[in-house]
Amino acid sequence: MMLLTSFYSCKNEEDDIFDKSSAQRLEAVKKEYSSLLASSKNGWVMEYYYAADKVGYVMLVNFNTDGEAVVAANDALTNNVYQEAGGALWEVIADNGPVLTFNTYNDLLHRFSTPEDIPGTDKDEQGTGYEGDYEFIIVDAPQNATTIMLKGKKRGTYIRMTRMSEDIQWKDYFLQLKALNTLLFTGAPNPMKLKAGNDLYTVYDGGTGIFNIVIPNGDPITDVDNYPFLVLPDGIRFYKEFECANGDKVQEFKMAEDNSKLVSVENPNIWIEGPDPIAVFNEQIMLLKKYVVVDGEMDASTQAIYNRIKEACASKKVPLRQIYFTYSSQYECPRVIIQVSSTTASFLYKKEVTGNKMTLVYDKFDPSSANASVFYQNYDGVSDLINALSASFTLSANKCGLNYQTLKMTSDNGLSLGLKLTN
Amino acid sequence: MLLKMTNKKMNMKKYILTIWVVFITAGFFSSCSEDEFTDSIFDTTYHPLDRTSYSFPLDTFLIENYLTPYNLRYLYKMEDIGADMQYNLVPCKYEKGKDVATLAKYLWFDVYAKLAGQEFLKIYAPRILHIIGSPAYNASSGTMTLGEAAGGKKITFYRGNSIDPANLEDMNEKFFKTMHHEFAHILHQNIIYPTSFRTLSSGNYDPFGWQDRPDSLVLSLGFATPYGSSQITEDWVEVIANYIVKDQDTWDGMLNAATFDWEVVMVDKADYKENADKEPRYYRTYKKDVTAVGSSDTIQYEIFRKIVTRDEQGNVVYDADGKLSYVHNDAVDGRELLLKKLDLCRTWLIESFGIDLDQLRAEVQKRQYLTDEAGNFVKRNNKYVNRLMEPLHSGSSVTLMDSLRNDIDKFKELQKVK
Repeated sequence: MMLLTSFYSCKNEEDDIFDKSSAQRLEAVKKEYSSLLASSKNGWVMEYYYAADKVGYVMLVNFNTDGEAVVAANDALTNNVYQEAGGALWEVIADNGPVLTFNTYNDLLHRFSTPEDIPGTDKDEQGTGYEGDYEFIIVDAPQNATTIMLKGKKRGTYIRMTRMSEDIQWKDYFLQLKALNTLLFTGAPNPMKLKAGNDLYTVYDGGTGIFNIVIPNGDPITDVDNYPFLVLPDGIRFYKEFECANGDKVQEFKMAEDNSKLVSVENPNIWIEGPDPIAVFNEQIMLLKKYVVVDGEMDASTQAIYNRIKEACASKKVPLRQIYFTYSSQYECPRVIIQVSSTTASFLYKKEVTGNKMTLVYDKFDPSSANASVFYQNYDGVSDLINALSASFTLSANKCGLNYQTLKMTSDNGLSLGLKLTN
Repeated sequence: MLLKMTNKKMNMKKYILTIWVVFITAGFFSSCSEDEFTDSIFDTTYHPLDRTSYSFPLDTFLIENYLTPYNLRYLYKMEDIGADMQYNLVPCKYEKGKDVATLAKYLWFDVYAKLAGQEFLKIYAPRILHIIGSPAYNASSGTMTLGEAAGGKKITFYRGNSIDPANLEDMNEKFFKTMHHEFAHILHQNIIYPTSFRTLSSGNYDPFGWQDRPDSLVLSLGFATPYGSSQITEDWVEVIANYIVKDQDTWDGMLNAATFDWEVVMVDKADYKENADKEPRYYRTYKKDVTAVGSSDTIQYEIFRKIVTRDEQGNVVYDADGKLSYVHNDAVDGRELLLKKLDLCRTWLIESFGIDLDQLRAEVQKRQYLTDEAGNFVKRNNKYVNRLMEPLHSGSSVTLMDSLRNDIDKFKELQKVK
């Protein structure tokens, strides 16, 4: 009986799944992750979010082998000035698993965790601050990884870190971010469109750092969800995946080489592009904004006419200020205004839009403009330009297919104008 | 024959028993061999500190001045698991951690070691000092916790990132006083304060509204600070801590303020006079202002003021010299009470720990404030001078604080040695 008993009690012991104890494995992985973090000589790009539904911030972090962490940032909170902060410590510790901790204070990283009031908000955040994390569970860090996934210990916010290339200075990296951000969003009057097959989602408010995405044909108030994202040197990355109606999930987009659209890395058949430029043009001028003809951005023939107008103004000792498209609320039609010094002359046009073409036909002097006939008759080049603008045009983005602050107006007969939107 | 058979049976029994023992023993060893103890998973050999480490200078200083003499762990790298989870907190800066380490040694540990001996600190010093960078805000009461003492073993200091050796007044108020406050807690957690202390201010404690009590008002009730008026144990340690760090002028001013009696009254806005001629000064509490019904306009202020003689209409009645006549209306002589509490503290410290409170105070203040060659405090613009920011000696560009920091930075030299 005793024999049976002794064999019975040992028979039910399980075989070890791992060859080492959990504590040994944890110690080993701490060393492994520490080496991995310190292995990137030029540091890591940290895509930091203090909360999953708030604006993100790009920071650069170097994990020195002596335990010092150096962090850099250039964002709205640093007044868009490059800043670097060192003298703080980092460590991989054994918490409930391997945790990357910045366990002494760093001016740039811990600004999101410090429990002080946030300036410029209506609420008093003293005692909480942004409530961001400074300790991160290491979720995924393969050997020799180029990207590491972290998860904030308290907030649970996912933070991706990407190995920095060694051939770029940190300051220049942020300049690249700003350049792309400017290209995409500065002065943009238009939303964007996320095209997934036959579905077209409207993408608003990119300039805020949080896209508001409206489902196809949806209501912009009720059928909208928000997607924080970050601008990276070669594109953008959403904080969370966007799921299309057909089940495809996209998160990261790279700018096409011709700057025409942002193409999904996960599925190249899904991209973000600008909306109909003609619709945007007309929408803006009806808001009484101005699309100004940009001197130097015209075809040769039109530029020659423009130069004649400039010379005519100069000979009369009054400078040509600008020529622009806008709208006449009184006559409910587009018009071209020539501004000479503080005087303007306004010319009315009829407009017709068919498909991707907008046809403008010069109609008459704006009756409310006393100077129109004077300019038309007495300033060399004005009549030629006014009549040359009677044409059928296509409109396209000038510098970036997603930002219609600048447009290019091209007619069938070779006339082309660069336009820039102003108030 | 019978005898021979009996022996055989006995041998058989022995034989069978032996077999059982063998089986059982074999069974244990063969099937349970995984339970053998292996070497420790932790490296148990002694490792000297890593000299390539960024924090080597501070870590070495801490071993030499805290761990080795007092078995005390000074935690400047924040341990989230060891922090109070009800607060949002951030770590101390490394440089501030250095400053706290060297100042705590200079103004606390070295002082007690000098007066009470290292053995005293070995027994009573906390085992853990945890320095946190941010304040610990109490949102519900609008206050912040400056420090905590737990079970006589651990002291947590908050606001480490705010420490500024050039601002001695702020450091005294927010930090050094807290050190002595928390250490006094540890001492009374080891040896209880006299029970007679419990009855001295019975009925005047306010655990929930202490933060709304003005300083002068609580002094008149015999408390060193508003926080001291929250409960008995805080009262006890606040007397000790304030007596140690407050310079003599400030302490005398506190005792003077404690002699007056105060009242809290409502006054109409039209009658409010903050500094009216020949009236005791009004201090608004900003707590219970009354607004007109249906409006946000304030019509009455809650104020407190010193009690003076008044007629039935509430107008001030002056004495024969035309001066305000102060009235002592309540049963509490704040000054006498505060001095009585202080006396109990003195007796307790000397009898329980062999520490002379006045010597302790003198030693702390001599280290904080500049003295002349005769040992008298030096004043500039009628204020005590911060010794930490003064040159070590005439003509030197090195201040005392520089010298204290160098106690840590000197270990950088070891990092250069290969």
